[in-house]
Amino acid sequence: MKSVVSIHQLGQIFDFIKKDYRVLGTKEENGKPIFGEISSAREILIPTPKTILPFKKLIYPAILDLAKTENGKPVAFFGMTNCDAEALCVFLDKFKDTGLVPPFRNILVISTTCVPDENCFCTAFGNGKITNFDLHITKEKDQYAIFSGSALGRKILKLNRIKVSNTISKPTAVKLENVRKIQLEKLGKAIDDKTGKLPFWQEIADECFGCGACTAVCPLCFCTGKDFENDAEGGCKHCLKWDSCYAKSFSEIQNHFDLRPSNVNRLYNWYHHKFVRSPKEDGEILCTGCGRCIKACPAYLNQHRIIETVQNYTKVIDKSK
Amino acid sequence: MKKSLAIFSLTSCEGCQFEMLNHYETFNGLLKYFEIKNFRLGQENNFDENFDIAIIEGSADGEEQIKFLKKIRKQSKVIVAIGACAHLGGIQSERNSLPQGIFHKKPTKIVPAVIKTEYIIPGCPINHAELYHCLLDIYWGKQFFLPDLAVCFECRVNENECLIKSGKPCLGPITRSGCNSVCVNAGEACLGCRGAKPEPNIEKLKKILEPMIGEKETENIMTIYGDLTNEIDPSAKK
Amino acid sequence: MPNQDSKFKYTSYEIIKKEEMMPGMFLFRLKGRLDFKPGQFVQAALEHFGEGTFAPCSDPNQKDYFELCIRGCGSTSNGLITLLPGDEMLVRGPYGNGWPIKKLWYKDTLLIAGGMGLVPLRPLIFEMLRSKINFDKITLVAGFKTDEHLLFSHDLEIWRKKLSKVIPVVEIGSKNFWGEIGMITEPLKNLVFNKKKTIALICGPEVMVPFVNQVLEEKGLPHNQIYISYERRMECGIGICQHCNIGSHLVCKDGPIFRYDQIKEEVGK
Repeated sequence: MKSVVSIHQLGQIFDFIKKDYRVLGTKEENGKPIFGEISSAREILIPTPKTILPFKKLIYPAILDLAKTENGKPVAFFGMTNCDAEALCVFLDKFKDTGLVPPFRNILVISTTCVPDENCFCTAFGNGKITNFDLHITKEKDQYAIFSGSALGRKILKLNRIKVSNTISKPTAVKLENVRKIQLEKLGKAIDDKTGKLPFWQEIADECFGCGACTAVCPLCFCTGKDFENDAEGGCKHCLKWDSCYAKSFSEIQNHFDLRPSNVNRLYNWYHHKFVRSPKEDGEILCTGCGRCIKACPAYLNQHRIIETVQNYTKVIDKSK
Repeated sequence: MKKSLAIFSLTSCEGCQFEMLNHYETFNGLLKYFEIKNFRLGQENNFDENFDIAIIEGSADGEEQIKFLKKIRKQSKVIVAIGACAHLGGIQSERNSLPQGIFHKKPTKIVPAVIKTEYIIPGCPINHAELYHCLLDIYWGKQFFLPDLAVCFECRVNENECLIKSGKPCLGPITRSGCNSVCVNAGEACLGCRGAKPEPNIEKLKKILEPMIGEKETENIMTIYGDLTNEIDPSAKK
Repeated sequence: MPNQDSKFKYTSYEIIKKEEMMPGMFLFRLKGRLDFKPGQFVQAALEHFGEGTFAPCSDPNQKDYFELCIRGCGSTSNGLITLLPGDEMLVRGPYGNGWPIKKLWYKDTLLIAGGMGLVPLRPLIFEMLRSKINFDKITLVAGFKTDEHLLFSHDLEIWRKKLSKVIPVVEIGSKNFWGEIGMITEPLKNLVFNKKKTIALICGPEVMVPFVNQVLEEKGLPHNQIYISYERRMECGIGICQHCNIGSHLVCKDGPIFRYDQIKEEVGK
């Protein structure tokens, strides 16, 4: 369902939501788009550019004090791209029983149109349809088109006396040029089957710094370390800190016995977790094609091309058979 | 019970000591746990006692300083070497690569090359928070570990865009994290003052930097604080 | 301290007994009930230090106390072993799946332990001895460095009479040692067992496991009759931190005990 509203009505909806929710979204700070607390509708960026860090820094901060994990007010994400909205659903699902992030029922998603860049490849995993939202907002000249995607979204529009047209209309799907479909099942098999592919992975590992930049910016990377931080007051803070599977000590057990002794093992594990292990666990890959890792990589690696090549790598082997 | 702490300075700019005092609140908090026995900036002078912890800043230059280091080692239970000079050699180690006899007869030596060193807090200057965590962990008996990712990880956590990709020669990808990427936060490239992370991919970085600034300059920035590749790091997670 | 509602909250147990089993290795008896299955593990914490992963090693039916065997290895475990009776220990758990006891019913069981690997097998042996009628032959092969490093030597003496066979193996031992001297694989090679109805349970260092598997394979024991308990780095215990995966499996949630045929392709991924 689509309705067209003015900027004033959009502000009204924002204030309505702000009463019951802690509103988070994409805004501009120091000339960069970042995720943060939104206090006024003026701050919301529509269409929404890609931030360096995804939403995870707000609901699962880099240092999480375990003494303060209560999730008070429900959270509304006002102004996030479709791929992030999708990642948010997967993220919350992965953490559903932990009590560390707000429960799904306490989260309202108001997604907005995105500004695709050369690194985006979300359409590789699907048709680019925009589906994960309570409300979705796009800009139409001086006005805004609002689509409702859930009963809660419709209720919010109704309570704000926004007319909803009866014609069924959906947000325009994201279109990306030069992004070919990736068949997930095939990709999973290609990664899982290591035979004959060691040179392939080694070649990438030789180009990789193992710095962990890609894991920091990935909306669906959530490796965590637990730390006991001593402070000068004599206390000891139990906290969870973002970790990275690229860290040398990540999989070490006692006596410094490392189960992933070199970067090629760690790199492989990253792809394996995203495209093999996670789908086996709950059917969801840990990638939405946002392309943040490509932008963040100081080694000019292109993770999108890598997964495309893994697929084709099997093709080469198939032909030789 | 308070532990005795002594802070000594060898060849260096003493900037790391200033960094400690620069965050006076935190430094003051430490006084609950430590009794400062020797600290030039704090006007404490004690050279002949036994210390629980000796913090050493700077590199050892000449026989006299090497002898002094060995003496302190004998008097101290734990040695914490702080700053790039003690860890990698610092700016003064530049002369190690010059033909012998021009300035000094002998090269300047890093602390771990002279005496057994329990912990190293790298950086030019050090990250005071890291030193305080290390000291508190030593106080409680916990093993302190330096982080073992690259600066890039923290740099992205601080929401900086990659400097290399905007054409600046940055050593972030091979440098050990823990500085909270202060330089890049302020728009400056990383110069690797914290030394190399475990298993640094130096070849790859050379491949990126050499077309950008040339072979010689690449070599130069990689040796500003001493030899990145030749680090001795007792406190790394091995 | 972690929030009381969080998954990371600890229960504080009073230490009521501490016994030095060998230099640097202690058996702590903690007052209170811990409802665990043999083979599961707990996270024991020490304020200001950190956490370590340990397997409870007492009889799981014991309602008044449970026991943890802790060896000083890193700074946390070295801190934990300085605790004395009367002190409190922080424990969370148990986590993991535990040994597949029902699969052992009316089968021959071959227990293979390397060093500390005997710890998570001890509660299983207690459990099996209680309902011995459900199990056929029970054989225990336990390897140690020297005969002075023998773990639970008192228990081994008792089990020697109660189990079908107990073979302690030491790499270096004195002449009058009652077990065998050599590598753990030696007595396994000579062991006669019914490969149709034997289930092998292995717990030991990562380097030992492939050697043991090789011997069992040579003797014709199918891979789906071998269960292995894996040691991995544990940070959370609840399946979020991703430190402990073996290929597609998480040791804290799906393990620590895996059937060999299900895990063999995944090891090293």
